[in-house]
Amino acid sequence: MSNSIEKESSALDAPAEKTTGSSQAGGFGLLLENIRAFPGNFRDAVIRHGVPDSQRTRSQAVFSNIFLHIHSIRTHRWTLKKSFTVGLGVATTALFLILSVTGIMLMVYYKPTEAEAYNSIKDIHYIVPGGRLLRNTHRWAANLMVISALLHMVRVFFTASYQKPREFNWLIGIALLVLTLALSFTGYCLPWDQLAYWAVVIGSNIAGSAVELTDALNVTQVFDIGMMQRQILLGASSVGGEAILRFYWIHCIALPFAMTVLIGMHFWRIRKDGGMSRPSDIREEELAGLPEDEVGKAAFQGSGKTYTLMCAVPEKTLQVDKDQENTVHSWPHAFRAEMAVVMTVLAVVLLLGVFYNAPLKIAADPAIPENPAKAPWYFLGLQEVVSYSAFAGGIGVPLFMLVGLACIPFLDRERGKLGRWPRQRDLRCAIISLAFSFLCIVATLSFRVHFGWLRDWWPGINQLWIILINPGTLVLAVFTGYSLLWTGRTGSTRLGAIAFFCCLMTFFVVFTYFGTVHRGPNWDFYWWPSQWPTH
Amino acid sequence: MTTPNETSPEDSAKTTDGLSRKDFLSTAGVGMCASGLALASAGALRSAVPSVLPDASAQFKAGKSEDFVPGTMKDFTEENVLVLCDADGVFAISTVCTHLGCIVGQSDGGFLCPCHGSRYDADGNVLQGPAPKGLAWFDIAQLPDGNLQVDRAKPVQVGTKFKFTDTELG
Ligand code: HEM
Ligand code: FES
Repeated sequence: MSNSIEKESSALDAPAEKTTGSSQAGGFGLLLENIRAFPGNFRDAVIRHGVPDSQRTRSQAVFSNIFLHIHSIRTHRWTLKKSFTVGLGVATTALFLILSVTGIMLMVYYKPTEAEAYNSIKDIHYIVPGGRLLRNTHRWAANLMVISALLHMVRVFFTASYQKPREFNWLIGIALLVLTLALSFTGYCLPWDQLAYWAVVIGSNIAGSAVELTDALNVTQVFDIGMMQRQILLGASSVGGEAILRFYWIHCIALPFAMTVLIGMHFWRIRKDGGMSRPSDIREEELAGLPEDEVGKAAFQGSGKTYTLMCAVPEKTLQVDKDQENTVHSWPHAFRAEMAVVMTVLAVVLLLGVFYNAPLKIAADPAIPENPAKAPWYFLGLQEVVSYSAFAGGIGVPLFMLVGLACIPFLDRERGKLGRWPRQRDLRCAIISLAFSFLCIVATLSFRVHFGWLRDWWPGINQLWIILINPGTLVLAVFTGYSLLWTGRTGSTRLGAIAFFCCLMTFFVVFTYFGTVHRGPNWDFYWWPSQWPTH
Repeated sequence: MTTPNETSPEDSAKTTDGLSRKDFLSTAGVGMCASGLALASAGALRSAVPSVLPDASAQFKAGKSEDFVPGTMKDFTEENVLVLCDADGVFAISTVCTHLGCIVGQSDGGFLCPCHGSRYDADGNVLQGPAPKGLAWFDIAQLPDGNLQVDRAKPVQVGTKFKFTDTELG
């Protein structure tokens, strides 16, 4: 179907061949003429359309370019609303691109061996021209990408954009979030300083922490899945050179590859799901200040039939937005908006890179862990739960959260809230849930700091009890019940989803804060890091 | 193209259980492709599971028996083992925390892990914190040359101590 468009348009675009003057100077004249026409012809060969200033060329600019045609030719004005997407998906993509470029450059000097890894990072930092900026940029972009992917998920959730038909893209999104965290974590390990070494020790033991469960059930002898996972990760039974090589491979090959494929699917799905989500009842004043163009206006004033859009291209088979009067040409409006986000992100990352150095601790020392040995910040919430039970914090709780998130679009199938931030009833539910979960967590953590937990009361207790019942799992259980209650009481699955999501948000934020600020040497409670004992 | 569930006259010849010949063949084809791909991938992935572990040997020499008198304590930081001697004999305790593998330090006559605060008593039994079990004790044997050898691959019951056969310990 669309073949005919391409054929037709390329036939249309091809500038009329110049056939004049050829006979005058014979063969050489012809050659000379072709040489003179070379720049123009070369341009036409690469770019098959004129300057994108008319409706036709603007459409062609988008669909004749392999990179740009990820976009549809026209973009809904709602999509361009800054307060809708907040540009977070694009920012995340920009960060991934920055990370890819800086990462590939770092690979030139980084040496993934036990003896050289640490020193090669020092070389990059102190000797390689521009190396320090490259490394700083890479590190800060990685941190920002975790933040922006999380915030992007928050915006998708609150604008109900996970709902039908976007359930699958929500799942891809969760996979992307996991990949982002995994990339960050494996990246942290490469410098082979104290942070890196002990992060790998703890991380790989978390992978092996299924042994806590199999031990408690007394089946480790026959089914030691924990040890197997650990060995696959480390390539050995202890942390050393093999582990560096594996982490390097995972960080530089496996995860970026998976990420690229999934980002491709994520974008493809946005198109196939009919573009970005938007409300069905948009009022004209809500779009005030956004770009408009003649085609949209014509459609608006005209009969309202969708084919008016296609005055740009004399075919009606391209995928188009239904709500034509409120669309604009993607070139330049959508690209301009995206480029603005990309350049802002680049500027932020570069500024951070110029003014703040990426940390590097002393070289790895397998005999003495750092005290406190803290994971990268986004894992400190989990590390707090890990300090109750390795299996609960390292596997149980994160798995529960991911599965919970993944279920949301299939459990909440309510229609009608698409594309708008919560208001009234939904907003109230969000605020109440945030407050409720905040109080729950603060109460539980204070209790635990004051009175200890099961093992402190009954030292001989079976570990299974602690895996099942600890401050982390306890509040999550309460939150699940609490969200079900919302749905039960109000008859709205969307409210249940909002309650659940808000609880998870508080969980992440408060636990992360607690692990970062209030845990000091020996994972003891301190009001402030300044009170840590010095030794 | 016809899809498998579109029946044209020639495939209406059903097998006994009602599966058409064409359905059967295409299901079998898909199944063979899937299992072929799965086996090929499993074969390629098998290499990621190490069959020979490149770790340092689990055994190491802790010193001659005459080096040990009650009260001796040797800290083998490379091997993460503490070899101690008391009136009952010589014993080896792992300094690797059973929670997530940090190295415990000595404190208040027992052990304390800096990572998440697990506490152990002098014999390595858990007193407090997230550690699911006590510190491991390892087997000690005397080699023909008189050296004591600790074997980290052989955990033993807490309280198992190596006693010298002769009167060296006095
Ligand atoms: C590495 C990570 C990610 C990248 C690079 C990425 C990129 C993008 C981009 C560029 C968009 C266009 C809209 C926008 O700018 O907000 C988008 C939309 C979307 N994303 Fe992501 N994303 C990522 C992670 C996630 C996560 C964690 C989720 C949720 C679990 C998610 C779910 C969605 C959904 C459902 C849409 C469609 C939203 C709509 O139609 O309004 N994505 N993503
Ligand atoms: S590793 Fe020792 S308490 Fe966690």
